[in-house]
Amino acid sequence: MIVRAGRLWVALGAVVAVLWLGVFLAVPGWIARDPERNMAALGLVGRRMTYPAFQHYWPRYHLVALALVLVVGGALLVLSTMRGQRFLNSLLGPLDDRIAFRMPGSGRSRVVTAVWLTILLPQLLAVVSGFEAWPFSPYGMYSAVQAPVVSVPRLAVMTDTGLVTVGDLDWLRPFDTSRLDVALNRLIRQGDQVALQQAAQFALGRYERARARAGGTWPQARGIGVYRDTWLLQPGASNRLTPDSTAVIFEAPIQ
Amino acid sequence: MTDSGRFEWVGRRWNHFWFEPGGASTLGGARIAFFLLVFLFYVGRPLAPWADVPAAFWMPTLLFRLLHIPLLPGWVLTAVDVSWKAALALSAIGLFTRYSTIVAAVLGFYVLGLPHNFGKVHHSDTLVVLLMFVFAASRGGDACSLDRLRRLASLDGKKLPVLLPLDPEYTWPRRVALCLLVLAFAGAALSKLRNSGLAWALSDNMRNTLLVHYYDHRPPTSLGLLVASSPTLTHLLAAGSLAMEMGVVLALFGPRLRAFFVTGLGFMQIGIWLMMGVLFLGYASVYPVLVPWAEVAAAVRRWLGARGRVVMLFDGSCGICTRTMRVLRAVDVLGRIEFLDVIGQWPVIAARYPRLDRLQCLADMHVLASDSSAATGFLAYRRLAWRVPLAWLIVPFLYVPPVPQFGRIIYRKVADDRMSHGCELPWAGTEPS
Repeated sequence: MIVRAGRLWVALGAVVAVLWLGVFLAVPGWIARDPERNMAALGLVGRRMTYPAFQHYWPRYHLVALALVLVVGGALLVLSTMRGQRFLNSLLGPLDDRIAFRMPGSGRSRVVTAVWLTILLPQLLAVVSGFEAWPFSPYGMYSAVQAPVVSVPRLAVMTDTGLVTVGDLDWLRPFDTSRLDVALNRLIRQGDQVALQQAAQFALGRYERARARAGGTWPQARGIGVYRDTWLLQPGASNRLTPDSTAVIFEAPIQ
Repeated sequence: MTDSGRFEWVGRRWNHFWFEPGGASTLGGARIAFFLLVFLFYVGRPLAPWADVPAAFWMPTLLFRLLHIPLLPGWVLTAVDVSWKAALALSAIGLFTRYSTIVAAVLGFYVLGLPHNFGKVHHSDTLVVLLMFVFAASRGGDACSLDRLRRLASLDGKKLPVLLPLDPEYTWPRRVALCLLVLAFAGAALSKLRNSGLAWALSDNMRNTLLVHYYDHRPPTSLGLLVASSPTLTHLLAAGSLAMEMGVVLALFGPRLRAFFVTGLGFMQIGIWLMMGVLFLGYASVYPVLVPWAEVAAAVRRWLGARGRVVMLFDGSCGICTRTMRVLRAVDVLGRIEFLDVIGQWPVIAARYPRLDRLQCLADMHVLASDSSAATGFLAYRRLAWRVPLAWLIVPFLYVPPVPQFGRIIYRKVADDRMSHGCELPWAGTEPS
């Protein structure tokens, strides 16, 4: 990837700009034709991404990405001047002239280029576009502003004496709490009752297996349910043991 | 300045970033640390239980859907899982590195990717998967590997240099790792600005985020509650986090900025665990890839100075002894061993250790401590083991009977038979001229 002339950069920039503009303009129109189907085709459903949310976020994503491109492009322009290059030289130290003669051989250069194209470039696109295609991921790390309310789904076993929430959900491995929460929420949103029954039977089966291992000290299950506990955040999380409200999301009693 | 001149400078900087000649041992150290940590993180997590999860939960991610990657039966999952972990272990110790890293990457994509098809996509292992492919394409096994030691110990090993020259091949994989880390954090900062703007840092967001995790997680400390009680601290924490995430781009521009931002982000993630109970295990295996291991070893060597150094006397005319010396030189990363050839450097040895007998030194390997006390044969190897980090795990066993007894017998047998196993100048008990 040795750049030999400015024209190559300009041509590359033009191609990227045209492609980008095309995607920016074309995708919303295409999704608007059949939002549910076309958003599903892009893998956008099931991640709390609704059509209004898409309409809200799409231009914002691109505005920030555009700002990023302008900053990077501006930096490149500055670095194309002698003064800019002198500044960066003073910051990074002088260039090593031997390097031009120590590039990897052509075969290995292809390997390195392949790594850039198949690993770095898709990751860059995922970050800029916000498009999720694990392992290429635009992980936001708590990017949404948190309201002073928390709402947590809870899997609980229905027993003769009431609801029992079983500790760390170790008995449900390989699921962990957050993965199970999200999976159940997705099933609930899809409204697929058969799938929900299957999920409930699976959880009950795991519970019974763990109960047998515990020597019957756990209460007999009469069913299983998913509930949503909601708290208004208090200083010191002082109310964490008593939710302000609990809503039933789904209950599956043993038939 | 012409257009091509201007852009040639940018191109040369670009090449400098990726292909600045680097040390093989730095990449080797990165390989060991990365694969060892990934192995330790995942060794206790079996894959087979996913085979029992009902089809209702199967919600394939984009690549699994496009590539039609299925959920395999339990026994196949077990085989894949065991093979992956074996490949991780082999990659860490550097045995059949070329193949083991490729197997680790391909199987790792499946093993780590499979759980994300059951509802939630966790993001902490994305860098792990991508980095495994980077190592598969790299020459990470050239140093600090059993492959290297095998080559040095082979009959043709004497043609190989013990220390490899600096090469661009040892730089670019670590630069890709750096770029991936920068993309992850800069992307997180971008998301925050896109989704929330500056309200992310200026509102009560951080206070609420910290508190929420005491409702739905179990942080190991109550530090988060303490910080959440102070608006000043929460605002500072939020602004600092955002600044670190945005500023990480500067890590691309030099080792000092790299050390500052990468270390800072590492501490930030430790802070997230302490205050929010969210552990970024996958990221923890990426940080060691960015450590300049050769420089660290050199700093440790400088710090240790002459303390604990030993002198190993070897028979330079003996093929086995010479190969052993070359292997030991390769693993002596802390520079704790000085090598002296009894054949070629006897005047030096005699001047430093006048009480030594040359015939005895040729008959058995000698290792001399700083107080001139000599250990020979098996005991010499045991003394060397203390100096070589690679051998530290087995040092305790070298003291447990009957290991010393067997060790002496095996050493005697090998030493007595060495003439018939590769010694170039047969020596039969008379002093060489």
